[in-house]
Amino acid sequence: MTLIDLPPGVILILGAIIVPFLSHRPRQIWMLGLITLSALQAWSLTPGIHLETSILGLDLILTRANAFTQPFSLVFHIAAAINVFYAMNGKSRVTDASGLAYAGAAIAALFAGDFATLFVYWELTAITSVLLILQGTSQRRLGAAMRYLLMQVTSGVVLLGGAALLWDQGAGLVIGPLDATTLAGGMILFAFGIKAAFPFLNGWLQDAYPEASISGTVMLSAFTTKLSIFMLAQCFVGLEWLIYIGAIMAVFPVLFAAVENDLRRVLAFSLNSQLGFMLVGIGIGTELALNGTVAHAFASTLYKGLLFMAMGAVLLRAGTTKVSELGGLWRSMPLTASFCIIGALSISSFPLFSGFVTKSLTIGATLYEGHFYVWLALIFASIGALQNVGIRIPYFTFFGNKRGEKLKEAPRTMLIAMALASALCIVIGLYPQPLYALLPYEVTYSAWSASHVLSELQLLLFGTLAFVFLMVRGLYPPAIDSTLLNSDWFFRSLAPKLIMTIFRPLWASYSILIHGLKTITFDLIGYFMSHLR
Amino acid sequence: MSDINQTLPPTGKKAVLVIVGLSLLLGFLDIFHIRHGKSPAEEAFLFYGILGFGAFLTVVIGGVLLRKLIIRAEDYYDAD
Repeated sequence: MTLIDLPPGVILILGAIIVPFLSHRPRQIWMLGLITLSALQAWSLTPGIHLETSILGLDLILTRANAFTQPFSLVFHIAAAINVFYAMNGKSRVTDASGLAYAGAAIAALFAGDFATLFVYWELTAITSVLLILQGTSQRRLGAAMRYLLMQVTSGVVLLGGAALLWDQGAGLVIGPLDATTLAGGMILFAFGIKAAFPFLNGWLQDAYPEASISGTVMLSAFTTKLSIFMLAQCFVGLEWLIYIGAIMAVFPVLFAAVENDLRRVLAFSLNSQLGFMLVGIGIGTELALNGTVAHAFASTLYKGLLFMAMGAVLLRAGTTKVSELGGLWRSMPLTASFCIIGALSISSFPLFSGFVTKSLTIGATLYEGHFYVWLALIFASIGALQNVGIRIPYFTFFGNKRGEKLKEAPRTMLIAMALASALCIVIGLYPQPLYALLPYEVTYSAWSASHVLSELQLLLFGTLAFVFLMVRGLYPPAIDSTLLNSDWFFRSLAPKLIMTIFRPLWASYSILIHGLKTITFDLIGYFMSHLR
Repeated sequence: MSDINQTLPPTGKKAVLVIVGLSLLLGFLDIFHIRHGKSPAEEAFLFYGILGFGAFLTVVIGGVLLRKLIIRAEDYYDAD
């Protein structure tokens, strides 16, 4: 077996070992070369099993391709390459090495054909990505990194437990459709749910992503959650619960994002909401809905990455991404502002941008299948994306009443990365056919019907009109420096307090008992000693 | 806690006129466009415009109400 026969992505993991020992320029060339090689490997794979082995009696499928792997692996490779440009300015060997290995693990996981192989890459994504959080500069990064690692490793352990049960039941380890009502299926669904940031399992995402390094946050936004969406699409297509979990997941984070002050955290909430759309598509499970999930995952990786890049550039230059401290930066950072607006228009599904031709597939599928209230929830979440990211981020960062400090534009390599992502957002929006051709099923849906264009423009324009109304009337809520309680409150605050409440009386009783026993013992010894004398 | 001025800058007035004008134009187009939606609600006049306006206000108001429940000091976890 030669290097070229290895699963796509593995070459990135192996290549990352050398990265810390290379100087700046050769390192970038090395990383881009490896990503290109891995992308060519992935692209050349036709559907089917390509590499199998047997270890300790386990039949492992190391490389397996199907209709879903190609679009996901393509966008993962694109994201990895763009991240190389974006992180170039940081000159951090640890970020470069861990980012490359993280991308490699996520890509290799896409091609894993069995749960044992998946487990290895699943945990590797956790270990490599936590280094990106540790590379952050905030005081909170250590705690956030530990909580992130705990959740990710828990996901891996539960996945392994579910796989072991499957093996024990003689069902084998091959990744394929599972029954979520069985213990094994339920455990695997739970493991995927942690990484996909299901409701009440999502706290790690908003906790950790904004604490990572500037380029680390961009890398984190691309891989972990999308890998989980991919796996859910492999194992739980048509599972009806996912429609409702997805709808809740799409709606609630937009309410949190609407009042969050830190714009990188706003993006983390918004990312969570976008995952909800993808989950609805998997739950519906029709060809249109699954195409929607894949297309949305593809486009969302690019525009969400672009928005995180723009906010990273702002953080680098202004030292903050808080709404309460920003404003008027378009004069200093006109290119970053333009790229941010392209990302904002894309996520808002504005015609001519990527979100318009991808998100509408899933939203359309909900109506086709008669899920009117789920459709309404997704429309609400779309308008939430318009408010939180489409308007709030560009307006309060680059425009508004504040004149803004005199800052430098983002570094050239960051601008190149943002330009590449922006170009893709526009190209997909203008000419979606190449993306549609990559999707698992034939696309018969037309996003460019007069009805759809008019409906979408009405939604967006009247939504913007509501923003204008609130601003003109002085009713738009001010940003407040604060902590918003999220689902991680249960683990970070409530659980420790409950444990203390339960164990403190037990500990006190134990102490009293021991103290009493000691006293009685010593008294008895004293009594006998005095009588013996 | 800090506050920012949540009003439109003077240069924003032209943008407001453009948005209002475009919204009126879209409303006008809706008179002539017959939409064959999957749901009867979609066929109502200016359905998507009203939905967009209402949903935006709901997101903002919902966010503010939620904030009343979940807001804590910035060092809430650090203080533990």
